[in-house]
Amino acid sequence: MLSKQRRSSVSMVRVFSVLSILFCPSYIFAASKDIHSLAATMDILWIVIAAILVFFMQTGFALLESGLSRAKNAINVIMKNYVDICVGSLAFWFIGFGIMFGDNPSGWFGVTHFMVNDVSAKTFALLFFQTMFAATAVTIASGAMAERTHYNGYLVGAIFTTALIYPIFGSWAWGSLFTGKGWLAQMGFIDFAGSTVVHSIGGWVALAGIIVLGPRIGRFSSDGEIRSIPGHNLTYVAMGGFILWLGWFGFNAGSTAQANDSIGQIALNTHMSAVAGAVSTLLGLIITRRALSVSTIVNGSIGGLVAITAGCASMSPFFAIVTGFVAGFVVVLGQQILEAFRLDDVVGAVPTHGFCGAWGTLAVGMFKTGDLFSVTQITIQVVGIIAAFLWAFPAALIMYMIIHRAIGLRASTVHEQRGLDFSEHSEMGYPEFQTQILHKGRH
Amino acid sequence: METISEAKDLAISKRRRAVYTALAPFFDHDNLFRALWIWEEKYAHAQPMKLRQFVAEITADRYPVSTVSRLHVQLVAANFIKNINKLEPDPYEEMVSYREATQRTRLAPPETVVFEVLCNHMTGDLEAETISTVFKLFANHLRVMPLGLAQKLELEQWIGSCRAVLHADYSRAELQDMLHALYVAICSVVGPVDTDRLLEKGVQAAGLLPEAQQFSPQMLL
Repeated sequence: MLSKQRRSSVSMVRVFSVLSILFCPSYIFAASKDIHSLAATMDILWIVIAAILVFFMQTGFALLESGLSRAKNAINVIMKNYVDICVGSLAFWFIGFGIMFGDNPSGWFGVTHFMVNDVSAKTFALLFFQTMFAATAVTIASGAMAERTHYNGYLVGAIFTTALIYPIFGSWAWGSLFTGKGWLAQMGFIDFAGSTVVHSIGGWVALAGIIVLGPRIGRFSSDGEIRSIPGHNLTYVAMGGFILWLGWFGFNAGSTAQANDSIGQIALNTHMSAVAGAVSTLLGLIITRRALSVSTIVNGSIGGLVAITAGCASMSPFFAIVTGFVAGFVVVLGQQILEAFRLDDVVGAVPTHGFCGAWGTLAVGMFKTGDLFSVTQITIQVVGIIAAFLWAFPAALIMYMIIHRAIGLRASTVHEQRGLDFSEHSEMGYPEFQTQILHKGRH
Repeated sequence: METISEAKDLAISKRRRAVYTALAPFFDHDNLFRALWIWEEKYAHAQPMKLRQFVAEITADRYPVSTVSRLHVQLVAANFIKNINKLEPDPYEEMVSYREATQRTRLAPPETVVFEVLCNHMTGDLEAETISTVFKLFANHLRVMPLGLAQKLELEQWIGSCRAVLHADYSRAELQDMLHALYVAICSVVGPVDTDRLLEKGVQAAGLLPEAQQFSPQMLL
């Protein structure tokens, strides 16, 4: 009875709407204006929600990196994550956004929109969203460089990365928000949400950082033995992995910058690639008869997420799975390559973000819907990958070398022994258990 | 025919063996012999009922109640054991040599004693081959440290003889640097995770020394 009444009232509304449209053209105009305004508001709302999800990824990074570090460095890692988003956001607002998205007549960097105060509502939303991206790019290095980096040196590096290294490459690939276009964008380079722009750049900066720093004491023996230094809280690692995964839906689906109908597929592709990355890592560990470690599996899923970031909007779910599947192997192999070169990457950031970012960018050229295995597109993608490395790696290497000389980047071995929580922050993550470094100045 | 005094000595020897047998699983070398000397000097001729007081003195709130209770039960059980073959041999000779060594050590300031015990515990569990590699690296580190000639000579001897006794005066900063050099040397050989565990163990052991009341081992870190 009730449903019958409801059906008849719905029919009445429909009839009234049709009659209104037929006989009231002014109503159509007003309605369409309202719909456009509503759509624009919905776009902004979606961008802001996505940006909040991307901000939440910082929690994931903090938990993952802290969990993979020893207890005596847990606070130092958290502090790096907490503060690099602060200094990075300021640096990005001051000059990063202008370089990356300002008017770009040369195709190499933007020259307007520094210290943005007066722009459209949508540009404000995009600035907020892109600030979170910049923070993500910079925080990648913190995990790789954990447990032996001077805090101040790291922060200076974070500022320069968000102010210059990240936005300059960003302007090449994405710099077309106002007028002009980056040279890579002009070529047709596809990196939808930043496999290369955000993650590979972060990965190459991390690689430069760990080269300048050198390994933690005792990480590699003189006779070539590789000693694993287990993290202090693998529950944090898994929780960090889940949170990153969640945030990535905002990272990728928010990059539409519109609340449109592609969001569903983008989110699905993102999820399927992460799943495939974790499963292939699991298979890789089983095949090579290695321990099924939670940190490797989590890195496998993150590798899948990084890899699909470039092509999440232009691939079918099948190829998203293929992309993630390959990324899982890239994570495992990449870690082994780094260790073979005696490079100490505490969280596996270089293979996960650097290598998987490069792979994902290449995968777009291979698996783009409607243009499978296009040689032209693959060539353009390779150019973009190489350009990212040739810009970010040397620039970060020089930056960290200068920081190392000027203010010091590598913490002393005494500080490494005591733990950076105590030596850099006079705090301890777990004071009840870390009795051996408490001297309190007594006796 | 046994004299009364010989019979008394035999009885004390049996009780010493009983105390040694009961305490050995609970204490490391230093603390075991320190406890045995406390027993020898204060409780060897006392009533069996004084065992509880002895246990309280040697544990001094440093152990959980359950451990203290277990230790007390073990001591009582060992003292009443019928078959003396189940007891460990008389440790008196070892006790005497331990006392000689500690008396020499006690001439050194408390920070040096704490330093030595900490270092000994850090290297105590390492295999002989590993120790020699560690000491080689440690010696290399010491060579570049700003120490006096007498100190360097003594340290070389100390490293070479593996746990001799240090007599020269070392400042807290010097001892700190030396301990850190040892930490880095062990780290290079066995890795940071095991080294941190050894350091933790060393700090705990050194913290039980009477000298730790004057100079905490944490001050060397």
